[in-house]
Amino acid sequence: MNLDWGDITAQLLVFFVLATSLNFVIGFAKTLSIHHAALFAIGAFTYANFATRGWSEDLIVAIAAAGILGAGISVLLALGSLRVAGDYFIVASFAFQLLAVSVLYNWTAVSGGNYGLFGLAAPTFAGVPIEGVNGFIVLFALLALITLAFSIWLRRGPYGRIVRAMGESPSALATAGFGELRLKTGIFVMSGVLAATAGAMYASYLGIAQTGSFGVDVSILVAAMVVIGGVGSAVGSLLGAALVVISQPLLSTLDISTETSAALRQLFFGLTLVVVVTVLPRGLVQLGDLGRRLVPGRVGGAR
Amino acid sequence: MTEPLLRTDGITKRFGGFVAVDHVTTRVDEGEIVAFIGPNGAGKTTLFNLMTHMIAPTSGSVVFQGRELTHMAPHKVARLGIGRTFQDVRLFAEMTAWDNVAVFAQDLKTEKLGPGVLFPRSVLRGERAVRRRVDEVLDYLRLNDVAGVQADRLSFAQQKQVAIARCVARGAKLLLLDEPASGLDADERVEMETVVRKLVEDGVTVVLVEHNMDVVRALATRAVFLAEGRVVADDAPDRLLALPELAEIYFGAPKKDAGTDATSSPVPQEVP
Repeated sequence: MNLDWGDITAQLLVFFVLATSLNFVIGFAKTLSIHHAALFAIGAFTYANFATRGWSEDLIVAIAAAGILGAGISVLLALGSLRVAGDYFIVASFAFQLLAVSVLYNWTAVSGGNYGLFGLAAPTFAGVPIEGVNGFIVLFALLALITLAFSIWLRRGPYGRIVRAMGESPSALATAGFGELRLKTGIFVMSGVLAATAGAMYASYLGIAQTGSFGVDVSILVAAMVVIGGVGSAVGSLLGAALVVISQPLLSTLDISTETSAALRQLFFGLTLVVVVTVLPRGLVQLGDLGRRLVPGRVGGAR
Repeated sequence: MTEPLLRTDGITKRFGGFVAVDHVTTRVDEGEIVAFIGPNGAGKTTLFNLMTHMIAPTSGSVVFQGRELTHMAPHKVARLGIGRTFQDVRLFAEMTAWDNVAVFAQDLKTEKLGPGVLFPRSVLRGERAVRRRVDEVLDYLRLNDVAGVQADRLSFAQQKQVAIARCVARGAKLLLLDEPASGLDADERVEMETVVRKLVEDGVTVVLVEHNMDVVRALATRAVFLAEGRVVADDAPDRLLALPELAEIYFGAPKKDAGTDATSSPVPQEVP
């Protein structure tokens, strides 16, 4: 088999950051949402505009700007989610996703319309030039590591605890003295910053940003990563992103026609989801728990 | 009269044309155990929801320690020291008993990004205090054994105890218990009564909604009888439960109600 493992690794790391950002909202706050491809796009076009307009080719600058934009939009989305009861937010979230894509398509000055913005120069990071796939992998691995550490820290700490409690029962959380408004806004903002960061990483790596790569299908793909890996688990987002990103080119290397391989990909994807939700309802991270139970002499303590 | 811990002043709640709570004026003094009793639909739980401002009153007001609660968000009411449990318990189902209590033990400042996530030293210091507090509360209610168990895997009685533990962890001065005895067997009921008495000894004032009259007799220092949203009687439990007309409302008065009972006239009467 002839797989470009460098490319797969770089993309995997980007999608891990994006999946983590969605996990904050779906996994921790239990708010179903489907607008993360739009936040991803905002990050990508922020970098693309900074690079093509000659403002800055430093990824840190683009991430900072994209983070501010992602945070601002997430505040609005959080306020919206508080006005729409429960799971109905997914409809509003879907509407935002469609709206964002349509605005981008038509706002040619920012998005380059159908063609997108391309030929972006390779970035620097804090002044250090990033060269070749290996350069990107080193940088992205570093960013992914920070993301993973932050996600674990958040989940195990006091903020993550009350966000998860909000996901379980906002009315019971209110009796603890915590209001929904501040918490939901906070977790949405952290999620928005991270999604936009992933977008800036993505565009800087590909050297191109096209509206077509940020459709609702990407939102669904990322949601699948979160579910397959394990909803609410920090490590799960990594496993889910890995499985989805690696499986796609793997299936297309099979010696069959493109048409069959596309169908096969869909089939594989659907089967994976079905197997995971029936056999491993808590996602791939459950495999770790099962493994631990098989090792004698180790007693699982309270987490 | 001294200012009561909590009083309601002509509080009324209408749902469309239905008056669930109708001009209820009552008070709860410090150290009391007040039981609200009455038939289903008398407005007991609605009154609880009004007291914690989970729902807004149509008119009237609730005053806690001299502060009017009428326009306060539920989480702000909780911050003043009013704790409550729910008929349907509402634990954080996928979290452990320990984490359930920890939510109520952690500093209110942790809802901000700084002390909640971004400042590691402040987070770690806070978590140390949380660990001490949670262990202390679980000890107090003898729940240590179930600390690591996921809440939805606890027995119903244990879940109800964890719900009380949560309020204790937040240091509630007034505790509203919505049907604390429902679904418990005799032993579990005695255990619950012991817990409530211990709390009262330690300075908590308790209000409860309860259908089990043995529990009301055993626990309450005062009972308030509600029917159709109104206070019908307010007295010591023994005296109040001896009133024959209340038993009639509670268990239904067959002669009076026969004509309006839907099952007795299957065809609705058309009004010409």
